[in-house]
Amino acid sequence: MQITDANFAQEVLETEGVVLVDFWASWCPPCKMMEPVVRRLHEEYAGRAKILAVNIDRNQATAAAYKINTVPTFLAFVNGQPGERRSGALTENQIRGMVEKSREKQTAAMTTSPLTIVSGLPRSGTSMMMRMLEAGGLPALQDEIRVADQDNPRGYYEYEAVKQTANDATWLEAASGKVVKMVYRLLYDLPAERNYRVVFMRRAMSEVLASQQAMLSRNGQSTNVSDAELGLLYQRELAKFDTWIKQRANFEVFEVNYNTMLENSRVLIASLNEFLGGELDTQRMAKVVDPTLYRQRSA
Amino acid sequence: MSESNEQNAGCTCWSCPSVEFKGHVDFRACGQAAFSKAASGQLVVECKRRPEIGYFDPMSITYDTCPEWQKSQYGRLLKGMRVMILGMDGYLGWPLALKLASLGCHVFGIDNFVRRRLVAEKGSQSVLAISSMEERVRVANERLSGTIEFQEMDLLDREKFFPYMKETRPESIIQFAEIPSAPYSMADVDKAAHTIENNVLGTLGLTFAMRDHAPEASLIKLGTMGEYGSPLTGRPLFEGLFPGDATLQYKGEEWSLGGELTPRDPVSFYHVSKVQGTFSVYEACKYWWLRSYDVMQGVIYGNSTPELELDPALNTRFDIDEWWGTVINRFVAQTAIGEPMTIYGSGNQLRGYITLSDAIQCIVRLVGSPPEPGQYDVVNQLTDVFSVRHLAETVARIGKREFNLDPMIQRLENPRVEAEDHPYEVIHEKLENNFGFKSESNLDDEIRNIFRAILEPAAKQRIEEQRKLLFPTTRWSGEKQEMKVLETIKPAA
Repeated sequence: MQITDANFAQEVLETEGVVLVDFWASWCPPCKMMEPVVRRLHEEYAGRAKILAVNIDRNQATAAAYKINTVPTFLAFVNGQPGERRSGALTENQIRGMVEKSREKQTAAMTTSPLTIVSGLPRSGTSMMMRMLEAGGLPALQDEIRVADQDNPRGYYEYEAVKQTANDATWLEAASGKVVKMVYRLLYDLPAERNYRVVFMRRAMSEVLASQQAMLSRNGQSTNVSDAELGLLYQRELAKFDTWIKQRANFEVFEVNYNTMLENSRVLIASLNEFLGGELDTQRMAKVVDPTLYRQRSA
Repeated sequence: MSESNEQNAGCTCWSCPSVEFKGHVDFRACGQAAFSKAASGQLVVECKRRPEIGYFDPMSITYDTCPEWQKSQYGRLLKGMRVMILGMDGYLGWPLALKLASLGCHVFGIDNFVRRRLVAEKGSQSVLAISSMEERVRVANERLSGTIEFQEMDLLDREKFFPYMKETRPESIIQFAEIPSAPYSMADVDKAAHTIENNVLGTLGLTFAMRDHAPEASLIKLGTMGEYGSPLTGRPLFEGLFPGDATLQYKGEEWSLGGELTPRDPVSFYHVSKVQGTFSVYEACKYWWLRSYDVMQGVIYGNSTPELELDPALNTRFDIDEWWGTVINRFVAQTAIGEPMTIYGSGNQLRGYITLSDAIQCIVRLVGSPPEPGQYDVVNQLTDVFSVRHLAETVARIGKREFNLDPMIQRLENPRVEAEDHPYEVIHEKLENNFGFKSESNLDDEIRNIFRAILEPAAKQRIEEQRKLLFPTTRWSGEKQEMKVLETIKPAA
């Protein structure tokens, strides 16, 4: 039942499901007296939810990470993300209440149709993927604000609400069973209690940068950061992002290499369809892949 | 002798008084906002007894692997553990000093001799002759393996006491330096004030002295079962703090009481001073990360420990008068000289009791398993619950059958303000479950021991000389009339 700084990530952050963590200290009388109650619940919930304890004096890194400044504090994690927090001694019913509420949140996240997200660096082929999936039968979440133009002759699939996710995630309530385009950085803001399927576009960096420059100059803008610098920046960002998403139990990721997609599109579409549940119209998806669009090709 | 004395084998350096914390542990009392100085960096400690091992993780060494902790009669103790006894001249203080010295501890302590003075002022004296502290210490140091050092000093004399604390660097401190008499504290305002000043300010000063000069020592503070009173609802008397599954329900809502101090309902101004002492210590643990066991002790009786029997010079005091004697001791003395045993009221009052030797064993076990830094814990220290009437009848039975005495019982008007017929369920599990305590005495045997000791001519004579002081005169109400006799009983064979 006791976990430490050393195994906290494994036992809590990387666990799918509900973990209730009791932060306690030996100098805290309510903490000491609650220990048998917490232990009883730990045994009772075995297999259904984890109820674990962290001594804050012996594991100061974890205590500080969650800003524990009073004990006992009970913190509920769902799929590795912290949620409800209560301090002070709790009755057995109150602890059960926390666990059950978290279990409900988790079930709700699991039973609603997952949201499909097309993501990647800017200009990595995300709009095209959106068109493919829409053709395949997944309705797209989008506003019609950004009109199709030379850079995206067949439309942008932008959805303004995603940019405000950190402040207002209510758009997710209408998102089940749909597909939306979100640049990679916006994924950090998504609430932890839901599950997401991500189709992540990878494209040669030189092409990403070139496509970026072309679009900006067409709009009369330009960046004063060199390609080399920007390329390095993107690479670093992507590395960080890759590490983060690998640790998230609520994200499932399917990588698509934009550069090789055109050559072996049938194989790719088949596995993509499988990843997304096998219900897509793969014929229509294949028709979307249009060689004539492929202008910024690496030499 | 306890079979398994491994109760503290698995304790780590986290609880050991020899260890000094390096780094940034700075949490404060639970339920109150606190802050941590730094989260980066590991918590490490240094051992004052073994500085050669440098800085290390306090969880990495246990008492059974540490060469400084050695097996003893009642579990592991530090080699030459430095134990300070405040009130070393007293009924409990002296036998405890002897026991710890016999286990190889370095024992030192003080006393202001107020007990000897107040007993003399009452006109009574210890039934068993006791030597001066000088003589006792000399004989003890000859006979026992550890050492005992004594200084006459008043705990309230902070100018002397604080340097004494700094110089002696105790690893464990036992606070027995309190005036323990309920009727004394009720006799008049000056005596009530004296009791409260001596007890409360003594303990308060002690906590400051510990903060400044011995913050890693553990404090064993003597409370009393009388702090709790005897609730008519029959609510069990928990060990100082509510258990985790205790809840309060009110108007459809529910709250946990886990860890909160249980209600106090003291029964005299002496008991009030104990409750105040509890709060002083509880606060000090919160403010300064001190460590303490608050011992809610039942009524002590008897006077036999193996160390006391080594030499008559090592006797501990044995009081029997209405102010300074505890009930069983007094009943045996009354029967020994043919005085009736004086029961107050119905005699159905229930209290917890424990023999002197069992109490000493408990304290030694507490010394060996110190609390963790900042931890305040409470134990209920008793082995049995008896009614006063049962005690009188048991003393009568043994006195008559085994010592050919002619016991009598008298029920008197109750001078105290207390319930005479009440439920009394005491939870007392920690000493057995956590500290390995196993009682080595029982009521009947201890009564026999007492009879044997006080029927000696010298002792019996001393009881005769204070015959008139055995009958109660102090009413809680302050009124001065004599206590009326309600009933005289000749116990059946």
